[in-house]
Amino acid sequence: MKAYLFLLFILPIITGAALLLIRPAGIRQKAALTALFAALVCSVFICTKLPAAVAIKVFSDYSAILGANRLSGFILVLINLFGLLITLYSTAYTRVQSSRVYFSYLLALVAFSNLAALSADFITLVFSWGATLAILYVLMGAGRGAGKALSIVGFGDFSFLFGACLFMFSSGSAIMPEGLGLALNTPLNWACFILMLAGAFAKAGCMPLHTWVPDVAQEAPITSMALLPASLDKLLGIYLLARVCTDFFVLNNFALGLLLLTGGITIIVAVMMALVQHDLRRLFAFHSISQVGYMVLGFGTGTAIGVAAGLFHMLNNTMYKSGLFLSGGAVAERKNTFDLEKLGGLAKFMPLVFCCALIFSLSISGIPPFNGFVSKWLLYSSVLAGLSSAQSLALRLVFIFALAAAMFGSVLTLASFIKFIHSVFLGQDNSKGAHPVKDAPWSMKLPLVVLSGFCVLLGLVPNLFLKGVFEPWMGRQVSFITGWGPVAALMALSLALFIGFIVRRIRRKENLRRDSSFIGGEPPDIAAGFPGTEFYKSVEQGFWLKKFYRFAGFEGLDFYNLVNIFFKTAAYIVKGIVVALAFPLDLAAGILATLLKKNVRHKNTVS
Amino acid sequence: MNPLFLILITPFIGALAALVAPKKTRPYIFSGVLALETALAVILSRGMSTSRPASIKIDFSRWLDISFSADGLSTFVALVFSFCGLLICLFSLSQAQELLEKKHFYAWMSLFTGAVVAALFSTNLILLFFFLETAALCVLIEAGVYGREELKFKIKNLFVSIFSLLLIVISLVYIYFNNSTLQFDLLAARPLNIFIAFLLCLALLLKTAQAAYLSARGLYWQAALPQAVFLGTGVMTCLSAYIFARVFLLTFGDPALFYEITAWTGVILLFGGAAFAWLARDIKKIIYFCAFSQFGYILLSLSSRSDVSFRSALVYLAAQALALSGLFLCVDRVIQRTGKKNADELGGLIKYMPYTAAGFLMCTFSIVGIPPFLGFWPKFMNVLSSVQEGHIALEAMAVAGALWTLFYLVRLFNKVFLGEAAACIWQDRPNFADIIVLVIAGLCLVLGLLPGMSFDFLKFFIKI
Repeated sequence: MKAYLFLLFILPIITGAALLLIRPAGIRQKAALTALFAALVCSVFICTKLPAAVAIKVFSDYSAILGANRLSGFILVLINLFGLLITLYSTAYTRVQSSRVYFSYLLALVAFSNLAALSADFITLVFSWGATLAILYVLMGAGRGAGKALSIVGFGDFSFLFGACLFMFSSGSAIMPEGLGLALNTPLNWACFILMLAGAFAKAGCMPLHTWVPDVAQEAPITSMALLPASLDKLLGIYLLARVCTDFFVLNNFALGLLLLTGGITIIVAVMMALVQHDLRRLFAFHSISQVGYMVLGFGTGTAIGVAAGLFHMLNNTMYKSGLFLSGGAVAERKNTFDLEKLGGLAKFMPLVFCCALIFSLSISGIPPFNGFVSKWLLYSSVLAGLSSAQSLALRLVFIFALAAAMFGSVLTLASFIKFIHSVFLGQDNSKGAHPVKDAPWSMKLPLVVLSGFCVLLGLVPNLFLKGVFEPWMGRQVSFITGWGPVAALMALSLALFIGFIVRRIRRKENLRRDSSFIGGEPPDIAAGFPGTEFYKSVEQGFWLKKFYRFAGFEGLDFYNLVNIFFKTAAYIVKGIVVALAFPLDLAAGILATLLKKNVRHKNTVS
Repeated sequence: MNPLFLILITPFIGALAALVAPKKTRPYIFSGVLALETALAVILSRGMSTSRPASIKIDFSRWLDISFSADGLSTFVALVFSFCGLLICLFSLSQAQELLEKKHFYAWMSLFTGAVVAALFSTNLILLFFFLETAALCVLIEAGVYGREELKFKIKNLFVSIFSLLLIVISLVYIYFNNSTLQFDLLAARPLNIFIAFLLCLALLLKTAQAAYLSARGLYWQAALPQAVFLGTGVMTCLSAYIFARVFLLTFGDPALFYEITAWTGVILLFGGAAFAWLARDIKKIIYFCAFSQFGYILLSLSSRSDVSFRSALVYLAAQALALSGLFLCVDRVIQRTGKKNADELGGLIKYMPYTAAGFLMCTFSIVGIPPFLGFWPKFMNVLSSVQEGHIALEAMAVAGALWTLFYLVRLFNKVFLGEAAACIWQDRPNFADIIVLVIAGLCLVLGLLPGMSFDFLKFFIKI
């Protein structure tokens, strides 16, 4: 078992290093795929032998303890699965397919992510957690956006490092506890909690440490976006959040309220920002942030069903979010743009990509029978359960706000993705006279099909996760509180659609007047159609919303800018103090120099 | 032949040789000196396991004992210093032509090396500070202080030199009158007056800051020479860290206040260096201030009383010496290629100097303490062990300092290597200098992935 646990780290690292020496791009890609497939098989094997633990001596002061339980084993499988799918996709993505170092970095990232999931002690976790930061920077293109990501996620990582040290001091052990965590009844424990939360939030891209996600989305290759903010960072960040909320600490009402508020605000603000984006990558990036809010909300309910919902939503989000980024990449690969105003009518050229994108869009919007519906329904149920057991009025109000934010967020998410589907796949084909668009290659389509298949499967059979992973790990049962399940909701939705179809058929028989239309005395140019980017123009221009967008876009609220201002101020203060202390020396030297110069001049004059 | 004797005498012979040998051979003589010093340090380290470490004693007079002894700490620091110096020297062989024009450059550098090594192996305070003064004087002369036109600058440096010398003399006289000796082994566990400790600390900091600053400014405000910058900045900070450890922590008795003084001195240097690095625009000044900031971090590590922290401090001393060498070399490459040293006038160099950019980035990660690079392990182990002892506020500041370092070094990388190219230069071909940079960066990565190599390697030198 030791060999298998270690192999999950060593195999990708060694393969990644070896790839640097291989020249032909084809061999590099195949070697990367083989290594990741082997790692996936290994992770599945480990899941059959749970629980597992092993200690490895690294040096005299430290031995790494690696272990896997139901949850971490499951995370391991996901990490390797996503690594494999995105590597396969990357073999056809022009920007990275022939890069000498891209696949090496990707393998290194998978290796350290595996190590993070396998960590059973804080030191190993901090090491592997931080190692993904350096790789994040280079995979994101090492540009200015990546620099911002490095700084913000670095802040989170350093916070987590310090929080882990405080936790070890408080608990007296370096082993990560599994249950019976620290109570939040001392300032030290609160400090640990907040610091660890900062680490999880920065990695997952939750407010207020989220501003790196949209900025990096515009620079980084789409495969890196599908890999990092969409999947691996989310997996690691929410995995840590789950451990913090369930194993490391016993949360009190204040902590729960904090999580609920953070989650609710994240959902609403991020989805409002997504609604007005015209760049596909920024649109997905803001939705990625918004979905994290749901996960945080789940943990904030303090109920088993809430934790299940948060984790299930994490799983579902990685499926459809990665799928969305990869779909966008497939489109951009053919159209060479991410601008929604320049896209359109691609459904007929890329039907499979369209179908998959539609499934991902419906999933993220929480429409049955897809997976997003199940996790969101579980979330609503958990918030209702938490609301009914909340003692204080303030907490009840927070729960109500959270529920409203979650539901309203879903509505706006659907609205945003209607815009996406219309702009990219429906509407007018804007390639007038240009060569017809070719469909994406199989290596791009296969990951999309796999991910959309999971979206459907997990939507119809959510017990695969709930009974197979969550309940054995948590040791508690989870069921839909109100009796509504995905099948019941699907039947209700089908009935509603059927009724709507009947009504439309009936009304078609009514007389409709057809007439020609004019704008300014001339026939309107309908070739451009009604672009999706115009859908929510009125929203953007609305009085209060205009103020909201101006406020949300204000750079002073960007955490990165705030830290820069803080450092700048501190630097000027320190410099002022040093200049003040050195002033006597400066003064004395100046006076002496002047006297000496005068003396020399006088001597010269005399002579 | 006693390897300790050889390691002490080699640089002085090298200095003489550099004075008389033909110009073109001087860089190679100096490289040979450093290579020999490295080899001799390795030989000395093998003697650590014996019960009689190497020592030399010269009976000079009743009042002055000239003796040298090699223990684990001094041998380790000597090895780090000579190895990093050798890498820098090899890097600079491509610039040897310019350096040959500078009068007696290699002679002064050899003498500097000899003074540092002698200080490391000194067994008493007077020898230690004598050689420290000699090393600082070599740097001052090499930086061309005494040739400068600006009178005010000369006077300021003279004030600082005299003031720090005065502080040292007062302290040594006081210690001698109270203890009748200045030998480390005879002073062991004896108390030291807090005021005298403060004076010594201040003198040491002034001496280090002055020498390092002048070497970074360079001769007549020109681009600083890589050897001079590294040896002046990196070595002086390493040497000062060694003196802190030797004098305050390993020699005199340990009132808690010594540790507090060391810790708060470390914090002041950490934030002071970071603040000035943040505001600076000259790229080599930024690295110089970064070196000071990391020196503060080493002091912070030394101030914790645990064995783990002490080991971490020493590993970090080696890690930051390596990474700082890399940063200095990268910055030197940039200045040589573009002729500019203002960060605001640079940009887009990653297209033209990809290897330098890669080396810079890896060394940055190591300095900041991001895994899997070498700098992570000692920083983290230090924070962990210090927090275990209850120094939570201090370590919070250490982590904040590391974060500040991340911000300004990444900002520097962004300004110099990313964005639009400010200067039109041709595509860089990898040369020997790039190989040295990549070797340093590679060492930072490999030793970080195999931390046992550095921590367990230290056990050869220091039995803790």
